[in-house]
Amino acid sequence: MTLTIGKTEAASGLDLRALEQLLYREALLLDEKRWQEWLALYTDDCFYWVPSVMGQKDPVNTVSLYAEDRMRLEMRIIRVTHPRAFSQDFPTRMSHVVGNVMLDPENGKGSDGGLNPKADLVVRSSVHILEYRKEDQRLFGGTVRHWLRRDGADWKIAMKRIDLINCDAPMEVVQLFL
Amino acid sequence: MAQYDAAAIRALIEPDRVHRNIYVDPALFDLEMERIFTRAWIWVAHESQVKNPGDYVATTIGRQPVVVSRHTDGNIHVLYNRCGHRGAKVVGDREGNVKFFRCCYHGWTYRTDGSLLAVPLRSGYEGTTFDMKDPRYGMMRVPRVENYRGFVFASLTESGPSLAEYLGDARSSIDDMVDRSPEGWLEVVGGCFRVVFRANWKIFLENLNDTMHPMVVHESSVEAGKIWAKEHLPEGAPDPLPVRFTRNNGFPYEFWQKLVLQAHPNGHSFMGGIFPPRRTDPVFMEYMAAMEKAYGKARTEEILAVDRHNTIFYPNVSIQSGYQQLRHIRPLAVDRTQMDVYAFRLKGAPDEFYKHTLIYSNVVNSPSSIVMPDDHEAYNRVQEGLVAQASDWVSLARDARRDRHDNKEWVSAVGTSELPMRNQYQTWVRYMAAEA
Repeated sequence: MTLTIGKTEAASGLDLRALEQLLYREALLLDEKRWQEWLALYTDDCFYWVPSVMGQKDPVNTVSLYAEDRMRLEMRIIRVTHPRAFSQDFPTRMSHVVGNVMLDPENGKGSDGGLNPKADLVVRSSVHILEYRKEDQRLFGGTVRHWLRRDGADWKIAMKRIDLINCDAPMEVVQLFL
Repeated sequence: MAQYDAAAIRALIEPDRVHRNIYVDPALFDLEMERIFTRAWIWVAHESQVKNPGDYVATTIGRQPVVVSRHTDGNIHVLYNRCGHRGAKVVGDREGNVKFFRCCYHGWTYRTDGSLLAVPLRSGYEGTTFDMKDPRYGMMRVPRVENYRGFVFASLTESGPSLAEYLGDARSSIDDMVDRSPEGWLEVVGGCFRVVFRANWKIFLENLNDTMHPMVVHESSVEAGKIWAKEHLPEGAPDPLPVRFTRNNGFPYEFWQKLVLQAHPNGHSFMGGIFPPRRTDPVFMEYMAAMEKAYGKARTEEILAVDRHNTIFYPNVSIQSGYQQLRHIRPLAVDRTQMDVYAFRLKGAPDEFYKHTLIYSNVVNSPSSIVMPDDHEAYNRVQEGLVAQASDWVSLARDARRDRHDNKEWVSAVGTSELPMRNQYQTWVRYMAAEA
């Protein structure tokens, strides 16, 4: 892992507010379904991962709810916006609340699934996602880690891991991004 | 609520149509749990889920809570998940490994073969009905358990056909799945997708070998594959797997008509493949070399020549043998079903090859699949639509007069036939109309 910042205290020169704003912006783009702008936050070699068991070690020896490279993210966006996506006849709506934003105390150690993403720092946050479609609302929640890579003055997301507390629950289909 | 005697049940199933009550009436759902799920052979686990002595998984057979456990002698048992004392569910989680089972209520303990191990404070039972040796005070074993090449099935009735007789020639799909391993063995991959939909379990079973739906239901994911490929790949380039697993659903009707459909006794069926598992890329060639080393060229050719998509083992399990997937159907209520989806490694196959299985799991079988949401939308809408007091009948008439009676064992049909569904209802009515 090419982390340049190893410890939280080493981040003193960092503008944590800017990192928070990046996460808030991601949440806003997801809530407003601005898919292309959302995807533009990610690197070309990105990985979007939602494990199916708590503390999942890797996306290989255990199945994952999402284990998406950029290609599959792009395919999903085409599908979910297609006029014949019948399961979106009544569109799903989502509201993300992002909190507890901090530099990951473990720097992504033990949670990168052995993928060793090229990143400059790892941000840890909590998320609550309220989802509504037709008759029902449901709630997803858990811990999120973003592996961020410097991109000029900005940051890009090289990898996102979402550990849902209900990752192994029986659930109806999940159509949008968490 | 309607009451159903045998004649009333028979009247629900006609040769090419079925009454809507079979999907919406809770009384019929109750009868199904009693008459189908307690009599048929029900898939409960794959042997690799309970690999070591003491391993267990908790599941259900219809409404019956059971535990599949591996005993110290290596035998696999299917036990009712009920304490022999006051009836509490003994196993409270989904899976694990134990030396013995211990009830959380009064601490009765059981060996992993279900026999009663110990009861606290043994005194006080003199002259009572309690008997340490009586299996009724243990975690009782279900009457029958059989295992075919690692697939463990149980039956809650003492008598009836053996598993081999029950599965008949449809077993060849299990062979297809297992033979693809250079070591002739499957191992379950960690994790399980548990997907719930708001529809009757039979609607899912009908959909599995229904080839008239993919190009309609899956238009959005077909287009996702097509559009992505058009935007990113040169003309004529081979499809990456996620594209293949989506766009092939959009094949024209002529393709689906040419597919093989086979309907077997006891409600089983399978259809021909739509994502040919055989390829020529380096990963596949490495896999093929491992196969040839294990089986020789001729046998490898024979194994890889098989191409089947879904196989249904009525009433509760379906496999996709070419991509090592298994879907365990668990009816929850008349209008609610859970599907547990497992993926398997082909033992002895290269790791890279196994990654294709994972891609399949993800694109097709995950709750966040790009393909499945539109299926589930269709099932849910069938459930909602059938509440309508319009026609009482659901049509399964397509190609009903074109069945081909190939031999004494099975019936085949043109790929776009509704034969597999009609076949399921012949078995349904046989179980349901048998009152005793």
